Amino acid sequence: MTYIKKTAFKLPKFLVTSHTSQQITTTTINDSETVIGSQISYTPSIDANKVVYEISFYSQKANSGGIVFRILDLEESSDGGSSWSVINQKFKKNHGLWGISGQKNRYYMHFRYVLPTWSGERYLRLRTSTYTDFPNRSSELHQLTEWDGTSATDQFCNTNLLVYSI
Amino acid sequence: MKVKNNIMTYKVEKFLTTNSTNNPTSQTITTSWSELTGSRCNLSFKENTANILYKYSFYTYNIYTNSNNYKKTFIHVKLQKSNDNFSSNIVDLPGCQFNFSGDTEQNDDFFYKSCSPFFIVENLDSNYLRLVARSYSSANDTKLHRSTFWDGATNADVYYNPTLLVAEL
Repeated sequence: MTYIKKTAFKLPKFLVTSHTSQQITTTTINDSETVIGSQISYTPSIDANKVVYEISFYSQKANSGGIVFRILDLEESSDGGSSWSVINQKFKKNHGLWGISGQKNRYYMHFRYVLPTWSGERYLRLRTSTYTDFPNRSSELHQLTEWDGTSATDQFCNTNLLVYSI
Repeated sequence: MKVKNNIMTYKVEKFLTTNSTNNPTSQTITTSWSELTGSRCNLSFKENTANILYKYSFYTYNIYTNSNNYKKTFIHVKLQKSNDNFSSNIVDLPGCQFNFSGDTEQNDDFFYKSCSPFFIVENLDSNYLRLVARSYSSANDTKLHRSTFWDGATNADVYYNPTLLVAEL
C-alpha cells in the first residue's frame, strides 16, 4: 500500500530553530554573517517552475544604541556549503530606520523569495551585513528584551523557514 | 482509493484553510491580552499531531491623543493553541511570539504598517490556534484593521481585511 499525502505546497521542507541567546550582528562593513536558522538544503521538484524560500525571524536594535541599517543577501551553494555566492543582486533587501537613536526598531522580519528552479541539491542561507561600519549599528536577533509589559531576559522568537516548489 | 495490480494507493488531503475578515471593526490593543480578529481557526488533521504553517496579516495604526500627539505603537504578539476552542485550555506556543513597535521619540510621528506573522508549529497536538496581542504599556496602545487616512483625505474609513492561511505541511 502506498499513502500519498497531498499538501498545498509542492515538496515542502521546513526548519524551525528555537533560540536561547541573541545573535548580535557585526558592525564591520563587508563582514556579513548568516542569520541563525536560515540555512537549508533543498532539491526542487523535478517539475518545478520556481522555488519559494520563505523565512521569518525577529530583529531589534542593539542595546548599545545607534541606528539600524542592515543589508540582507540570499546566498546559494551547490557544493555542499563549501563555497557560497549571492543568488542575484535583485534579491538584496535593506531594512532599518534612519532616525533618532532612541528609536527601538523592533522588526518582525518576514521575507519570501521566488527563485528560479535548479536541478539537484543546493544550500540556501540568508546573510546580514551593515550598511556602514559605524560601531553602533548592529542589531540583536531572536531575543525579545521586553515582554508582557516589562523587561525580559528569557523570551525568544523562533526562526521559521519554509522552502517549497511551485 | 485506487487499486491497480493489487496495489492500493490512498491519497490523503492535508489540511488547509483560509479566511479573510471582511470590513472588520477597528480593534484597540491595550495592556490586556486580546485575540486578533480573524486569527482563530479550527484545524482538522488525520493523525494525532501535524506540522502546521500559520500565516496571518494585519494592519496597525497609532492612536491620536491630542495636539498632534500620538501613542507610540509597541505591542507583544503570540500564538496560542487549545483543545477546547479556548474555553479553558489555553497554551502559549514557545517561540511563536514577537514584538512590534514604532515607538519613536517623536509624539507626532505617524506609524501605519502591516504585519505578517509567519509561524511553523511542529507536532501540533491541538485543534485550535489563535493570535493574541497586548501593548507594552497604555502609552503604547494601538489600533488595527482600519484607517481614516486614505487617498489624500484624513476623514476616510478604509479597511485592511485581516487574512489567515493555515496549512498542514
